[in-house]
Amino acid sequence: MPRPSSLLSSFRPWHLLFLLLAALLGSQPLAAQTAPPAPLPLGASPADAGAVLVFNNWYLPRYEASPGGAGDTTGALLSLFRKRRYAGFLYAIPFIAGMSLALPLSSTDSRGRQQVASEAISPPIGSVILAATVAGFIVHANKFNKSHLIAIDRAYAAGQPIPARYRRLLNGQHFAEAALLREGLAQQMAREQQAAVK
Amino acid sequence: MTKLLLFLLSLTLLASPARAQTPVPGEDLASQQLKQRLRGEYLHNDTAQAIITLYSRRQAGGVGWVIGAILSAVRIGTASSGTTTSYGGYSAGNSDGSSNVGAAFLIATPLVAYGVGKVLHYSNGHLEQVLTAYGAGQPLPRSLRRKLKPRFFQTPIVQYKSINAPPVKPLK
Repeated sequence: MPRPSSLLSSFRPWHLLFLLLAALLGSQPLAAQTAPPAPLPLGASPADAGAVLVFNNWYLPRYEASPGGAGDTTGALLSLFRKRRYAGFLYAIPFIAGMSLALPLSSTDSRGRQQVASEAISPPIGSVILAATVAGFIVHANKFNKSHLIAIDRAYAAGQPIPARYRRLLNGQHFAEAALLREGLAQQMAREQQAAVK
Repeated sequence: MTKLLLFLLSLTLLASPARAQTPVPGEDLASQQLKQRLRGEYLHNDTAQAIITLYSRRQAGGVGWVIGAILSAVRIGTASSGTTTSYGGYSAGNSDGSSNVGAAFLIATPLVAYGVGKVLHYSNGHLEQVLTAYGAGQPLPRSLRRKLKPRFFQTPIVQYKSINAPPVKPLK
């Protein structure tokens, strides 16, 4: 029976792989809960009438502004999802920090000689940071993916509310960008219609 | 470490957040709304649309030059100076430990100036002036006419794909 401290010191970066595997296996039932068992293909759901795919195939349902009606929630959701998805690269910062703690650093001097440090700064701390970063990134990428957006939008069209964990992230900036996108789409469609008439 | 920081900085700048249509990195909402208003005013005029697209692209290009110049200046400025000469198996180095801030400044200044010049020349104010004059019936200046390439006419305002859904009863 090894003592905890020796367990900690025997931790090696490749043990992360097992942690990652465990995280993946552990997250599967969660994904099965949130996603419908067999999502309908695009165009098969009644909510898809008038919907378009914009940018990198992001799903945007139809929206008609009405005085006193609901705001453009689906457009704001699209803006939120894209923003968060792009911001995922920020996970590179703790990842690099964890790597530089867990693995020996190398440096190149002015004569071009490369020297590798004899030991890493702190493999246990670095490994924990790495594991947390990778797990956090998986959760983040799973939360803001395209199929979840489609599922939320279809459920919203069917009258269900937006899940609270997404709804509380929406702010005015998302709605402003959604308005910009809707207007741009309307302009583009008007131009295409006119070109078809000619 | 500097390389990592540079890499992250370039990632930050290149990964533009969600924006509606114009590819200018860091363009604020007001500028996008201005372009959209102008596009709406000249909605069925292909030339005006192409001019707006041209200005958006050139603004993005100017920003790109500035970003690239700053990144290379940081890289050059933080690299240690010195020369290395190899004699057979030996290598003799000559390093005084100083940095190349002066060289970085010299190299980056004209590039930044070029980018800033581009941003200023293709500003939204100039765009509005050009479009107003064009809308009033004045001919386009020759310098601008030469720059309007077919690709600016073919760029859509927003690229989209429609989903082929079966016709169903309208949503409430």
